[in-house]
Amino acid sequence: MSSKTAIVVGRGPAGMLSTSYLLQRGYQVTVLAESDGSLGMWPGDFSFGRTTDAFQAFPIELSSAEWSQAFGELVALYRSFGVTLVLPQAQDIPHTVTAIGNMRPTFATPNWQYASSEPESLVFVGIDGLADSIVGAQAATYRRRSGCEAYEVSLSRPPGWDSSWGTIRFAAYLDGDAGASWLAATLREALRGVPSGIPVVLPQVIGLEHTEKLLTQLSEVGKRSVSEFPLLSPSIGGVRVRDRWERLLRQQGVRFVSGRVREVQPVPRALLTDGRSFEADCLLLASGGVLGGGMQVTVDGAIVDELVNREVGRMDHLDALDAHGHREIDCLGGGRVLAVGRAMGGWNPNRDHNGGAMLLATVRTALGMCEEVDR
Amino acid sequence: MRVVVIGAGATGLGVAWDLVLRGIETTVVEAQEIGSGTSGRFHGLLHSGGRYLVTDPSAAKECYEENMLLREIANEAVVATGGYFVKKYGDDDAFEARWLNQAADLGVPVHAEKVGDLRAELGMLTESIQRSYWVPDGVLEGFKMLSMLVRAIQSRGSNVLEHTKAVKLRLAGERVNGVEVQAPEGTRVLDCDAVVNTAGPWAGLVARDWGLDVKVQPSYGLMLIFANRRLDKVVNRLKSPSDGDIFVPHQEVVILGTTDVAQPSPEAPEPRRSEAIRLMALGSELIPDLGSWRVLRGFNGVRPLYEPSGVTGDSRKVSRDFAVLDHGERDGLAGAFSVLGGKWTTFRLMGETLGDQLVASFNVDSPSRSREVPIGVEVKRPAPVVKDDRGALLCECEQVYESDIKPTVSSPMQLRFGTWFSMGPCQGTFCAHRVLGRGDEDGFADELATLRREREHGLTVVGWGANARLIALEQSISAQSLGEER
Repeated sequence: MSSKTAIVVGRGPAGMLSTSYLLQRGYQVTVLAESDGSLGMWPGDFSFGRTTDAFQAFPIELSSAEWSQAFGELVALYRSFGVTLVLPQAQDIPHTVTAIGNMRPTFATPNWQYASSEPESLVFVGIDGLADSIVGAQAATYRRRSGCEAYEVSLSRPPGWDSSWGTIRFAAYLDGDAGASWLAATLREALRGVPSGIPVVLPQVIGLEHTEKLLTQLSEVGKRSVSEFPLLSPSIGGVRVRDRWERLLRQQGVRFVSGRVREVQPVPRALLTDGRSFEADCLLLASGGVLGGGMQVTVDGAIVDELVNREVGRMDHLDALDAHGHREIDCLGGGRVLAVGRAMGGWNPNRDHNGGAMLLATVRTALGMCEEVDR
Repeated sequence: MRVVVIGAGATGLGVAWDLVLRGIETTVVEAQEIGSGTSGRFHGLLHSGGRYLVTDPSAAKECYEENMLLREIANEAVVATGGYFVKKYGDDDAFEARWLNQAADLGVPVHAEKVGDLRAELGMLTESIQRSYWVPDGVLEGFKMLSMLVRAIQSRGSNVLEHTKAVKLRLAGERVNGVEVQAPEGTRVLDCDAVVNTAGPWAGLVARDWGLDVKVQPSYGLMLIFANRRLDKVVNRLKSPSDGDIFVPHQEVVILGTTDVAQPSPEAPEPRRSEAIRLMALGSELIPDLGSWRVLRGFNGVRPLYEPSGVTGDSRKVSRDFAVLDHGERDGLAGAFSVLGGKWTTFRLMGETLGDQLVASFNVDSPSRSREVPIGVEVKRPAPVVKDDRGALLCECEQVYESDIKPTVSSPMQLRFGTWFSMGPCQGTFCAHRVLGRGDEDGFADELATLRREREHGLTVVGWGANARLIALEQSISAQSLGEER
């Protein structure tokens, strides 16, 4: 008996998650995508929602036990490609800190990224020459938002720095031995005089491959917790996740095809702009919302999924942009073309911080439907 | 003599400059920020007069003369691009004939340009052009001109005070002798012998505070900004001035203007998508492929048109000319003046005219010198010799480095005098926090939120295709990466 086949359109977080879970269920997977996908744009943490009962408002209802199982599977999956996701211990939704000193909700968080259930005093570290590093303004905002103390320290520019250094260049430098020793020495010096024990947060440029090792060493030397706060796109946290995850999927035999999908038919079949066409037992549409490029906004304000030629909503006001998508996972009605991630509407990750929950819920539901159809 | 000028747009600064050159101590008070009204929201056209030859000849003549003068006295803020008027097949022949006659009568130079040559130069223009004419249109770099004026005024010992609102006149009998102003530091009275209302679209409200009735007809116009300087010259449609009939190259972008809608309020309304779509359609009559151009944003500016006989409701028919009112003669409030209407191009002449009337009313003989004294060279951002002295690259679209950000400036509007941060393709999505975060630490979060809302309004009006995606990106960066509350 030949194994079941699946097509995944898109290689953002929803596409990658679908691919991994399809593999676990024995499918042969072909990923069709035009470009790198959006994983590298975002820090790589999975948010769940602003409040503990947020899932009540989600279009897909899962019980607490199902959520807990879903996140448990996610942690195991991340471990398989070498990223440790930390889940909150208590009922509270933890927060991370941002480059401008805000506290943003997070949930399943890679262990390099700062997360805490309670506001606490922090030491913010700035690096001169890093565009996103605005430690004074960041600490001022954090003080006001958290009501806690915020210490500021600044590291000088690394040797060899020039104006062209962006976050990736910084991360690559710190990934090497020279960068690692420079960081350890400068940070130790900068933290002199800062009360001991207070956790330190650094801009998220602490290496690519050796991040965990670097942060552990810094913590041990400084005898205090050292972690990162995420920066803007391209986000180094997301780049680390993307690179490790893709490496594993390729090893597991996933076929990545570069090309632009022009049309998706209920067969299911995907037609590419260059004339190629792909068929499989099921097709997961992980092509994204307006941001990911799966939905287009026309001049007269209609929000359209061009792959299936369907209007899914109208851009009447700005918030609508994030919430629009297909209304049903089974978006073409035949049970074999399934919308996951932001291609599925009804969620507003920007407003409700439920992006992680959206991914997990839609992908799990879609997989259940695939298996249902195959039986 | 001391004079208080209300409003630091082109009119107020033009007035102040003319007065300062006459040796009059002048204080300009601005409720918001320099150029935050109409002067910071225009298409950048330095009028040759061509646009108003038929419909508004006196405005046309003034525009041409001031255009030529500004090239002499403020060359730094003027780009002599030249411009074309193009007549399509079917456009009114009689209008063209009148236009040519008026140009000859008023002395505005107009040269016929072969359509073949025009299309060889500007290949994006429609094929159905019948005739075209070159005129001395140019581009006026508004923020640069304003900052030159401020510097020139301050270098001669006078003052420009931002965030300072004139709330009340202090009178001695029927004569003004002070202006009560509100600033963040508190309320105080500026002693003066005269006060000049140059509040642009707000001038009617200022006059009302003085108990006077002055008919200002605010009229808003939508403009669209396109990425890339795809054309190098101004392009006008040769017909009666109307909507969507002018393209102006401005630094690295092209601006399409404009609509003209009378409204009661002086505040710029939020741009509307339906109007943007209409402007795109009108613009594509000149540039058929306009739909494929990347639109960066849309913005509304509010013209402060003056209608002596009252509000007409049809703002295209209100003169673009200006008026100086001496409220002593007109209303019995001695020492109070208003300067109303006018164009950016004629700001200096407005200053001169006000100055003449003002000194005459005090029986002082002090001629205007603003015609011959250069407004002064803008101090350029120093070009660092060593590459690394520029600091980190903060705004990739417009290449703004840390060294371009002056630690003394605190507001986004002020930053734009020196840089174009947040004006490029990403509209501040990636750079706003980097630039503002290097300024005032405590006010930072509020300023960032204000800038985002303002950029979003401009983006939403043209929120289709790639722009809709940019809005989604901007919202996601703001919420997910920066944790800003919506």
